[in-house]
Amino acid sequence: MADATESYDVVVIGSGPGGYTAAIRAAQLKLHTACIERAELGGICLNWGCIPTKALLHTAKLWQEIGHGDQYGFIVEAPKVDWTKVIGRSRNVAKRLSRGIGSLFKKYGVTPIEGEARLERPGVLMIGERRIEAKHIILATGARPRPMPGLPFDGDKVWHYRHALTSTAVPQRMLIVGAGAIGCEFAYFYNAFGSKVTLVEVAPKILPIEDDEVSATLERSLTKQGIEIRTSTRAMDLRVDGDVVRASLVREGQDPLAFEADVVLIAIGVMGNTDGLGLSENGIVLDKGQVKIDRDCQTSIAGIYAIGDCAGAPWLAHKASAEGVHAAELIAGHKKKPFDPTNIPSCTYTEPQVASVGLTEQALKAAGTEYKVGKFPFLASGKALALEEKDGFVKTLFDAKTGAVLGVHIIGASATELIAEMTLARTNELTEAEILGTIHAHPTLAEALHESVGAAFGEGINF
Amino acid sequence: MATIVEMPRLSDTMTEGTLAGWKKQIGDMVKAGDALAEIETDKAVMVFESFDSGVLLAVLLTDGDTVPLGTPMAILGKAGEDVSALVADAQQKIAAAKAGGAPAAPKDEPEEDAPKDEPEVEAAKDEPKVEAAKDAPKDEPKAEKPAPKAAPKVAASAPSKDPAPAPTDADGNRIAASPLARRLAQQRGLDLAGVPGTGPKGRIVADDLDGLAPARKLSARVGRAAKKVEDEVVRVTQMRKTIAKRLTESVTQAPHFYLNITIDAGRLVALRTELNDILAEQATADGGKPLKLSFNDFVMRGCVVALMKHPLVNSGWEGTASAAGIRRFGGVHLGFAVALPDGLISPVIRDAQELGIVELAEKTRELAGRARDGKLEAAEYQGNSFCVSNLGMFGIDHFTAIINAPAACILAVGALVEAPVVKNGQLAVGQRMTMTLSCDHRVVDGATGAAFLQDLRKVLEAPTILLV
Repeated sequence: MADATESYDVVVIGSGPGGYTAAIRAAQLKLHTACIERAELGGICLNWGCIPTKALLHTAKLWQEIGHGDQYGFIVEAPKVDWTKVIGRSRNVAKRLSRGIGSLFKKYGVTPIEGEARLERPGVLMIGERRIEAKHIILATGARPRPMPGLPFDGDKVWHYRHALTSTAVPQRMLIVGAGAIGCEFAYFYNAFGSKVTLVEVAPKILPIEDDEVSATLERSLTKQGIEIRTSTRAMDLRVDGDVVRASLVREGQDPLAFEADVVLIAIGVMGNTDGLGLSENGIVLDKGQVKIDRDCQTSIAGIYAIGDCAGAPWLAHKASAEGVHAAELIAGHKKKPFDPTNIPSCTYTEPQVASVGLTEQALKAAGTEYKVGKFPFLASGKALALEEKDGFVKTLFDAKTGAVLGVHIIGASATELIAEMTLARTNELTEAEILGTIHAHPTLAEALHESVGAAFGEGINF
Repeated sequence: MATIVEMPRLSDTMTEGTLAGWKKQIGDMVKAGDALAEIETDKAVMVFESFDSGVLLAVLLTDGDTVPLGTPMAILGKAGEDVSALVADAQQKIAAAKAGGAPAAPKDEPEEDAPKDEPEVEAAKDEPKVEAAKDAPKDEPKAEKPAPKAAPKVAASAPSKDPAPAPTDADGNRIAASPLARRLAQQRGLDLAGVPGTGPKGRIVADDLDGLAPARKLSARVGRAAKKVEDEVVRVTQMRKTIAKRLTESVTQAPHFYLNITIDAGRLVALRTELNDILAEQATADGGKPLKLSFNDFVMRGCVVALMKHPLVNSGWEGTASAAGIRRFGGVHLGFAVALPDGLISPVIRDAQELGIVELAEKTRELAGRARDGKLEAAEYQGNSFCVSNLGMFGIDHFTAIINAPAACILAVGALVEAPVVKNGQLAVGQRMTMTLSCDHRVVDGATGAAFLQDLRKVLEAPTILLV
């Protein structure tokens, strides 16, 4: 008895935020769609990334607040942490969401397929012996943490983010290599629960892609919280030595510092999951382990698309989803312009939070753009004072001539929520006039955005 | 022995010349007759051929320098000769000349200006070739440079405070465009109607405006320059200086009055058609290119015929207040204005009474062509006894012209137009042409001019006489 060959309009490989979004959008557009996943539905983001970390970070913030209970009038004596429950809640949140993807697939008619896919030839996928024909294939296989050369992850002494998410105890001394969003977030988290955290970054500042002023403000804040930050520094000779991790911290022009910690978290970036899929064998061009795509997410082979982390930076779930929607709609025959990568907001969930969209002030200076800048500190916001969230500011950058929103940089409480308004403004080409003409509710943190825009045009009221 | 090359007189009316460019470089051997430099005179850019031979040892002027006649320009001599003393001396002279010191003017410079260019313009049939002043001096005198721009006020560079208004199409329907696209359209003077939008639901976004030309639609913005341009002081050519000088003299010295007639050109139109048909047939037979007579040719021939009967009009005021005279010209030296890209000139047909209409037309074409090429001899644009200026081809119905000395009169010819006419109590469509005679009252009185016009009308309305 020969199996009838399965055939789909679209097959998505990977069910992370890029893959499941692409699959659902394709199904909505009446394309017969399947989504292949080798592990849990939802990929890293739901299971091991964004969502569980945010659950932990929220816990850390509450824990910090409890520590400051007296300023609110709470008398909390000797609070204690049940670490198993801290990690447990985070896992439960992830599980709930992963189940959610299953029901969404059912609702929209996406066929979930379990297993590891391999590209037989363009248009044909194999999962073991199972043969699947696909008119269009969307690669959404994600990425995995990049190890330090010669230092494999072991989950005991040498961690990547996944180990940091599921650790059974709070390490006493923790070395974090890489001060991007992941490095900063775990530094914040473990520091809040009592680790002695040292954060090492090769670049001259933490959050290297963010605006200089924002990076400097976050560095001051994290340092004040107790984190030791070493920028322009390389962690060399990293090795496990019995119960400890040893390293030599090298800063240009200074003597190397012999360093010891209980755990090292490596947060130096990710590498695309592009091996074992039969990609290069079928002529799909890779670039440094990532699938090479054009602005419409097309690979070098017609009918095969790639989205999200497997196709390169920025490694952000919302970039993957946006690409997933874009690819699905192109396949359905929609005429669509590629999105502007500078309209992808970037968020870091430390406290204070960091969020931005568009260009940094230093990028504008380098490009010689004439711009107007407005700044508003949360110290001057009534709502921020009420919340005891005085750290940080909003900085808005506008084209001096046209009033186009060039960049918005927020550091402070709820920055990652506040950025949405400015992302909407920038993406839809609002100018300062429309933003200033928008009534912002009082008292809210969002008023700080309004004030910052006002400040850029000499119309600030409250500062 | 080194020779100092001085600014030469290349037209008999020039008092100063502008260096338009060197044709030789320092160290080049120059033979008498070699082109040494290009010099812009009051009329044209002319090639200056060296009078002397020698190695070019020094050039003392740079492009755009304007100096009086006789000012040192260059030094020729033997290779290796030390001319530093000569150079220093020459530079002093140049500095003095530029500072407005008395130009080392040749003594034989005539005091009265030879007549040359005219006020108004003759038909420029073909787009004239640019010839004069092809290298306009680039370096402006310091004083004429615009003052450094003041730092713009913040308010001036700031975007307008209000949101750009929502654009509408010709029917008043709202055009979907992003606020930024609207503001850019406003700033660049673009019309958004019909622009294909690539944003959500066809909304026009900023990128869609790349490469669009400013709007043609008539709107409140019409006529508003997209961009403010700073004032600019342009250095004038020698020709323009001459025009300014001579016409100012004419208006201030010659008391002008104006006489106006409108003629019935019906028969003129018919005759012209007939003659042009004959000329075309002849040309076909000869295998040549046919000459096509213009209305202006008939007007010019008509003037010649009428002027022969009115020597008082074919005259000019001459001399000074103490020794005044009126020159009665022995022949009709008929000037006609020719438009040039950066000015105008009036070639003169000498003894036009000796030419039939076809010869007159041919001579007119030939002189106008050379005028546009900048190749007129001084004698070919000086000494008119009467002048014709025609702006009919521009659709000008009638206008007045400024008298071109030494003539006492100039005839300004308007367009030939179809107009309602009353003939024998019946309204009909006729052909009309209006002309205005400007007269120098020192020479011509009202009745004199009117009598001339009466005869001019007679010959133009019964034009076969023009062929006699």
